[in-house]
Amino acid sequence: MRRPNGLLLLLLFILLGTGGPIVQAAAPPAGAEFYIAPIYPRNQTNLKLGYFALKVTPGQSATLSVQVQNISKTSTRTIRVSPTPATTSSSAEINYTPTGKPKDPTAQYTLNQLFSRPATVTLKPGEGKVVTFQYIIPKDGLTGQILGSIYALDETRAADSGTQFALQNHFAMAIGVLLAQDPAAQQPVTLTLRTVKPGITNHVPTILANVENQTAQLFRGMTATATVTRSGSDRVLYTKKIINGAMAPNSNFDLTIPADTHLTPGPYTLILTASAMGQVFHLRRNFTVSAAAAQQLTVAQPARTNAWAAWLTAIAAILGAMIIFWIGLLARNRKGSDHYAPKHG
Amino acid sequence: MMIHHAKQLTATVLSSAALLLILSPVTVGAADTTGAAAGGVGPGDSGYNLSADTTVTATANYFAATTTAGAVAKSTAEFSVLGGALELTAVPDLSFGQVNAGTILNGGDQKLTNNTVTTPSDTAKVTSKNFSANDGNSGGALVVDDLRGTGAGWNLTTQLGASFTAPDAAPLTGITLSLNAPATAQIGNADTLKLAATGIGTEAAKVVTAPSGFGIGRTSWSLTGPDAAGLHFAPQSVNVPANAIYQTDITWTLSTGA
Repeated sequence: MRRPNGLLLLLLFILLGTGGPIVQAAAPPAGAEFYIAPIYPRNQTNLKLGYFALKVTPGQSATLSVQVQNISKTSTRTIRVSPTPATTSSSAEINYTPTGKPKDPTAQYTLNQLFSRPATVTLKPGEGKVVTFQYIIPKDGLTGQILGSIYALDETRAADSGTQFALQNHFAMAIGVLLAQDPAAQQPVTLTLRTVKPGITNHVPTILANVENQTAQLFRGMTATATVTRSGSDRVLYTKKIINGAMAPNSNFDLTIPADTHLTPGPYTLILTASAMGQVFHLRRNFTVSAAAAQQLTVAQPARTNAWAAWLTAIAAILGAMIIFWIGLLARNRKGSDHYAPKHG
Repeated sequence: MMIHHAKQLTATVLSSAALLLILSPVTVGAADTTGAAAGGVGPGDSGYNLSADTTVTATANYFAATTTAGAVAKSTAEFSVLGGALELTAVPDLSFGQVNAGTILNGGDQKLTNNTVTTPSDTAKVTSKNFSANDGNSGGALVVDDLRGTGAGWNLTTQLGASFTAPDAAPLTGITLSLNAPATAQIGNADTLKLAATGIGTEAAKVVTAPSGFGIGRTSWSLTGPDAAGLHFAPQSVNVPANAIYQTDITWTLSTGA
């Protein structure tokens, strides 16, 4: 990450004028050309949920099926169907799509560990198939809930239509899967702060507070307020609020608190007040922004005023040159006056 | 790794079972038991799924086994409705036109220009498919059809690819999408279903939430006009070649869940 040269930028502006790179959308199919629908098994607790909510027993081996339907009249679709663990996104939402996030250390199992492998199905126009996954509940049973989804992604290659496209549409569907031995039971949740550290999100300096739901219990309606102060000070420097947040069972997310460029080195304190499922958590953590980290954060953010900087540099250079020239003139004049001074004396 | 290892174990067990089968059919049952026991080695073994299979079977009927919803009319003649599905029927093309290099390099915003994908000057480059098959996209329509008849609600999430890439140019990161449009609902209050999301990045972000009882039938949004969608550019520290065409994936996920 190098800071762009101001003059180079100026040159770029001159070269490019107003016309820059083209950012455009792709020409995809009009919409998703497929759907998946749940086929409720006997241990489904409620037939009107629209997702799987299954009552399971220790050691149970059972199957779960979804119908995958190609609704295109003309094209063959290739759909990959994968059991996927639910995670919590940085905006405090339950995420049913694959993320590659590592399993939370407090999680006993993730959904994909209990389910059979993903399947890829090829469907002729109008064709439907049933994909059946087998799952096995450990003999020791489950504590609380396991949450995830049957996630289906259309992997059919879109026709390549030249190079003028920027947003290539892809389509997926996810049907939630909630496993519990006692579906009616609700456990009191435990929220903790795992780490608090400075970072960069979308090229903007931020403070990342990793919040963890240590319980095998999903929840909604969380409100959370995070404030950052200098350690020992009451003055709030940065703040972030979450309203109606949700978390998957045994999951964590980075609560992202935007900081500005003034994130100077030193000790800071983060206070997080969160309420979820009728409980209130007051969490507090001291953290340090090292000189190196502060430097990195500054470098990572190219000055927004680069165009200005370029102009200022140019003006300063011209002024500087004028001053030098003027000083030179003055000096010569002085020399001259020195030279001729005796005449007046 | 564990899974892989356990798979090998299962394979070994299975092949031993096959061997036993050849040698002495009488011991098959015993061999099977051994296999099951081997599959369960150690409590909490992540290899549980290894004896499990995913199968794919064909269905004959288009709407077979989609939902169990049944509706009863108030008249004396009863009828039941065969439930339909939840579908993402249409997604618009989002064109952001020409983006000023200054916006990309120094950060800034670019609003939606139109929903028509510009055709390259060399029309031969454009396959006919894009002209014929995608007429529905240029109207800026985003449509979700919920024909399940349960009113169970759904979510629509959007996610961008890891970076915007262009041939012979460094990838651009930190670009986020915003979507904003009022909804038109077939049944019930449309205000709840307003499309409103900013900062959509590389992580799936909810753009519409239809709670239980909402979003039944057809829900649509018209993504036209400059304020319907926008790209936010974080300052970039890379060179942006003139007239480079940047591209990324956008994944629309229709989901149901707890």
